[in-house]
Amino acid sequence: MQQAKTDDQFHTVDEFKAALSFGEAEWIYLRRLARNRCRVRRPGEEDEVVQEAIYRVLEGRRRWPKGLDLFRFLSGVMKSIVSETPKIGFRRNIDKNVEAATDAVSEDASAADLVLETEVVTYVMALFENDAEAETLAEGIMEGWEKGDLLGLFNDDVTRYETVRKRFRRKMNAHPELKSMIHGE
Amino acid sequence: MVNDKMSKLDLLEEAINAEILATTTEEVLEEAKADGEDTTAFAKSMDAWLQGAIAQADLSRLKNAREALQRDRNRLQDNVVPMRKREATQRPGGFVPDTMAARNGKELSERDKVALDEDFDELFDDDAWGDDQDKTDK
Repeated sequence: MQQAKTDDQFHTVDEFKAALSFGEAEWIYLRRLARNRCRVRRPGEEDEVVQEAIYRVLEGRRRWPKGLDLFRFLSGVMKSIVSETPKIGFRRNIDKNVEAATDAVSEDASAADLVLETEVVTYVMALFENDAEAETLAEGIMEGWEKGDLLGLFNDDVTRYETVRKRFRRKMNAHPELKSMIHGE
Repeated sequence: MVNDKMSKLDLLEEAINAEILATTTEEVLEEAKADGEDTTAFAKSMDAWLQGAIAQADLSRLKNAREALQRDRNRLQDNVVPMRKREATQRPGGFVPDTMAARNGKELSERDKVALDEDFDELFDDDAWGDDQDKTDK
């Protein structure tokens, strides 16, 4: 059984404030993490999600565990915030109103999620139609392959693998607006 | 498979998250600039927001702490039930309590004495016994 953490296992709010002395690079880094978290459920709202994550910690609603990297921690908080918006909320016509969307969640929620996922996956793959290597990497990632398996796709050529991963990451970052592209909103 | 419960989109999200975390902040900044993002403006706007957010969050925490303190006080008051104050009841004039305590545990009250006499009279009243019963006893 997991033991409850005690107060001394968390940073204080003042320690968190001190760690927030960000420069340009840190802010952009955080925004990049947020953009990834927001891609499907809250595309285009990464700035709000960054602010919400920081504010929850400042207010003491979320606590930063000692020993955990700050960006890794904030990325987890942002994931949690984004997950509060149901995927079903992005269905056309009712996605503007989360309450209505929540009410609309019914036995067909799983089916709707599946449809949405299929649409997004199809779109993601289409992003790489002119880049066979990145397309292969995307397929492997979405199949849940681990690094060793993914490296095998590139004949264990680490340099080539890293180059393709970087290309893949930058392409994904350049397309945070999947929702509007899928639904034409 | 890493995790059968994760959807393809979840796997994609986690893979990219790990990818970013494995990259340095400077490298991401360079990429963002190369992609045409106005990184300076974004950083400035976030710095400005942060100042206000810290002040607002401090106020919010203070307010929450005060409310929690008040809740504790209220709960404490709810747990302490005051003893009902017993007040002396008004007795009619000339009332003499007829209790053992009032008699110091020794003397009999007039009413007790009368009752005791009546009990003795009844016990030693020969007429109270029938003749048949006398014969039987013989």
